[in-house]
Amino acid sequence: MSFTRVIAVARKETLQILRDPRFLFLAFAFPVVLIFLFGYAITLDVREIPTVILDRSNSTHSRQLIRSFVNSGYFSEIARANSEKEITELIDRGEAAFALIIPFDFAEQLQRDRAPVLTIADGSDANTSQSIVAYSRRILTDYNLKRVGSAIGIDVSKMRVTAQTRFWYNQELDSRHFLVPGLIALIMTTLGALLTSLTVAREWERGTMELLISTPIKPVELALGKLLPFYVIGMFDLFLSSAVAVIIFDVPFRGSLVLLTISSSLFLAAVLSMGYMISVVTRSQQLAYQVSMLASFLPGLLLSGFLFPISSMPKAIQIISLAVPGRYLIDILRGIFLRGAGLDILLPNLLALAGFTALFAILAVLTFRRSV
Amino acid sequence: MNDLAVTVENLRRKFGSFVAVDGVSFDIGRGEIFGFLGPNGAGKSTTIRMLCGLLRPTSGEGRVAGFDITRQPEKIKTRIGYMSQKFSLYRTITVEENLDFYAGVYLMERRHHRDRKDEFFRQTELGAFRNRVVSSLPSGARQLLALFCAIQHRPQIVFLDEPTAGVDPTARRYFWDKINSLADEGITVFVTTHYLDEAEECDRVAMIFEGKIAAIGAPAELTRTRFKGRVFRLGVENPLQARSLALTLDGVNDAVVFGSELHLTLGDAANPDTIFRQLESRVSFADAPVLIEPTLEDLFVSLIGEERR
Amino acid sequence: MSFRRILTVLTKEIQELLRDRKLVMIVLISPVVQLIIFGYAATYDVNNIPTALIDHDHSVASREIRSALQSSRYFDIKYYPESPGEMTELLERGDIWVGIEIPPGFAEDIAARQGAEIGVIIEATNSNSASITAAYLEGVLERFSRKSLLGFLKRNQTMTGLIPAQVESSLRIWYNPDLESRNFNVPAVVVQILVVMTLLLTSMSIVREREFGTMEQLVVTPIRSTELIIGKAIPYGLIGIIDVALILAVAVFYFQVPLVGSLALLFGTAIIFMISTMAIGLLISTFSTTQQQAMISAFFFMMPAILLSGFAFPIENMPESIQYLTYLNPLRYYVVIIRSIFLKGVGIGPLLSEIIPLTVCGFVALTLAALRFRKRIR
Repeated sequence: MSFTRVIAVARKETLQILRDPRFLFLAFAFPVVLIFLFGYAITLDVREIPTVILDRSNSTHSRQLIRSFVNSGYFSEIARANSEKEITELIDRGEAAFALIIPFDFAEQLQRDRAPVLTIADGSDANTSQSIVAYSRRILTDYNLKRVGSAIGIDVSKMRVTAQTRFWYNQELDSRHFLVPGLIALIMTTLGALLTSLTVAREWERGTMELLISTPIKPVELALGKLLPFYVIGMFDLFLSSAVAVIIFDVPFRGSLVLLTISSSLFLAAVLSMGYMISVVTRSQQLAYQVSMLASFLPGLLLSGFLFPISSMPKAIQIISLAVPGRYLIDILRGIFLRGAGLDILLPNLLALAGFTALFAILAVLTFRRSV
Repeated sequence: MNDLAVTVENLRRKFGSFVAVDGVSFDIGRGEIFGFLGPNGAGKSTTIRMLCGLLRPTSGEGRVAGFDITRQPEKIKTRIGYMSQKFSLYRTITVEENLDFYAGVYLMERRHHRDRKDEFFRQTELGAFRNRVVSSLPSGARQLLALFCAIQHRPQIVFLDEPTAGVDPTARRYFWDKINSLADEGITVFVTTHYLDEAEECDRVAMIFEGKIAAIGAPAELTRTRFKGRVFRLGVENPLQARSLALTLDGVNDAVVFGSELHLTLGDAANPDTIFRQLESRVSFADAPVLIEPTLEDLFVSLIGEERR
Repeated sequence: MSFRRILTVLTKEIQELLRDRKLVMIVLISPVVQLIIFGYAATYDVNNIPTALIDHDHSVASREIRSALQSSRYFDIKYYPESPGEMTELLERGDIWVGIEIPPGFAEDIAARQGAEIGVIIEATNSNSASITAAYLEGVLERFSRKSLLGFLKRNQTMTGLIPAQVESSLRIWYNPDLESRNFNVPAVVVQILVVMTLLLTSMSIVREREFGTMEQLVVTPIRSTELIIGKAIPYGLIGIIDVALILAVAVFYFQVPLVGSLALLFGTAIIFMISTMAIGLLISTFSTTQQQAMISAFFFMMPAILLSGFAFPIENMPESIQYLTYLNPLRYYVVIIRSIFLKGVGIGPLLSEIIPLTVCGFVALTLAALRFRKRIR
């Protein structure tokens, strides 16, 4: 294998890339844009659930109950309703996700046996409603317990079982710590599959690939030369994104830089090979785009554990996710960033990535040979 | 409305600081075959595009089919046909589908189009390709198809941009037969080319170089009036050597190699015998020198040489 | 404006499309595949949280805690490690999300009314799930506390009369009683797929003509820009509708996502939405001379647009400035519309506040695109 030829191809690729401003933007600026988006805009955390309250009792007790909801910080009162119809409207329009309806005889009922109140949650927002269920239950139970305590004159705190909860790896409960490492993996997947498949497919479409094949260059040399610039871009993006995440968004970095480099390299290699393979098979830019979206970007987004925890998915899907290289990288990235995990813990994931790399690389070269 | 299909006055087009067309003026009569001759980058395609309403001139005036090219480009488009340099057809659909498409775009009457289609397939003997996808056609067939798409709606003026580039001689011949018959029907043909033998087939020719017209007129007339000097043809054993030698001699304006022949352009004042004697002493002649008619090519080369000097 | 010319362009587009077998397959299969993956993968549900429990106390009380946890559908006690070290290892490996440690002397502390404390570790890389988990856990503990308090009161009968009434709530969950994440996510996938298909295909179709040179040929004909655009838009609009129908079929029949609202409204609003996306695709095409540029530009737009559309991340939780930005995003409106149609079954009335801005977006995009798309090469 001649490295001179590899470098020659790589140089041509690089020149082409440097001359294409849009490409450059996607490769370098876009990842940063995404990280900023995720850093500032996007959060899974649910706070200040928009609540509408209908207080028919208007008593000290009802106000006390309302306060306990509002003071919890989870519920934010956006409106006082005068009728159930108003509540229905607000929920239908999506302005309120939670409603608390206190009946007119609430205070009286409290003197007797049980005082029912009605709570309504907008189930169409699945993310928020889980939280609503959890938090509202807790607030009510807490409220009841306090009432018992004050009625009896006992300090309820002495009678309670409380949890001393420690949140590992993410003390501040910042969802960005969770999302950003996953985002880095997604960016590299995009770069690898999308850009690579587009670039090579374009040569097929334009006919310049045939020209290259007619030279003494070997398929392996061609592949390496073409993918080399993307590898460099990918690693640059990795470090750039990590730096932004750590410096600007306070995502912790508790692990080893060396491990980060090695695992990302492996992943990039796998993903680049996959992109190359897609382009060889499809030979048309439009098709390459669609296929790489379907086969690598989407799984990278949905099945890698980036947004949705894999353990919550049905078994069959969990098995499919084993075929998604992103899954292993995200595990590794989260391990390195948040848990400070070492080689011993990350080894299985690393091996999986290495396996993928080898597989895709071989496939890429094989499909290329066969198509020529 | 006069009988002029195209009039152009001082047309200019700049791209940034680069002047592609630099003050070009000419007229084309109805039914004329007008050739625009020049090397690549001379400004041929830019001129055609301005005339077709594809590009806006930086300055200057022009009228095509009676309409102003700057102010009424859409009206022009209803009267013309255009075959672009890339003779762009839709490669993934069939020959017939391409024809139907352009017919629809020009709002051709259906029966009329059917007749024209049949005529096309008959004349070109491309009937076998009727339902074949364009990308599977040989390039000559594709060229013919592209030409027909440009003329099937019977435009008044047809603009052909390098229509025979990369086409075999038989197809080229057919092409020019077709162009001639178009002109016979009264259709004006504006054709750009860098093939000088094609230029000879035009009624009138404009030679364009670096955005300016160097000469304009009927081919025979041009060589007669504009060409300075005499052209001799001689066969030599070592043309390249003979050429470099000849260029050093006084009175030799130009020397061009044609295969194993050398075309020498001698100035009017030069003495051919002296020159040939000088040459023969160093280089052996295979054939004796013969005086020949200057071709457009000779004219063109000499004009360019003049421009350069 | 000539309908015949529009028809001519339309015919040619369809002819070209049908000849591209691979593309046709992708266009039909890809949405379905996307939906299936999404439908299965996208879940926020916090159920069956893998838990480990160490019971140092081995008392009735501690066993009660254990069964309270086990019987709740949220926690799945999978491990009973022998030591805290073992539990740490389980956490590190990611085998459990929650580790609970009941200290020795737990029952005694409760009996002595000293208040008792349980040690809990929650793996919080997914902070959202972690918060919810913590809340559920505390709920279990609070209920236990109450029960033991009441038990204590009953044993000391003197205080019985003092037990105050309890506030009870029946939590009604509207529109998605099982809190099925899928019902929330699947409708949003419709939006995502529509965007990708219509935006991309439209812009590619125009750029391809430019790249292969046929655009020049077209520009020279008397065809009008509007005729060209409409002729190209219709086939891709049709594809969009077909894709919507396909996705709906899979969503409703395979995933059993309830579709409560009106189909007519759904398709009607889909068409309005597609006008926006296709206009944006057109706009992108005016900035691109090659297919690759078009694809990259499309991607630039789509990624943030999808992420900020409210399909996965609630807009209400975003910072104010970003929320204002989303008003420019047609996806944002359509996500709300389609969820409402699916789950709430509302009519046009309540949706007007979304439909109107969506239409406005469409107009603005169309105008911008039309202004830029001129029938000249330069």
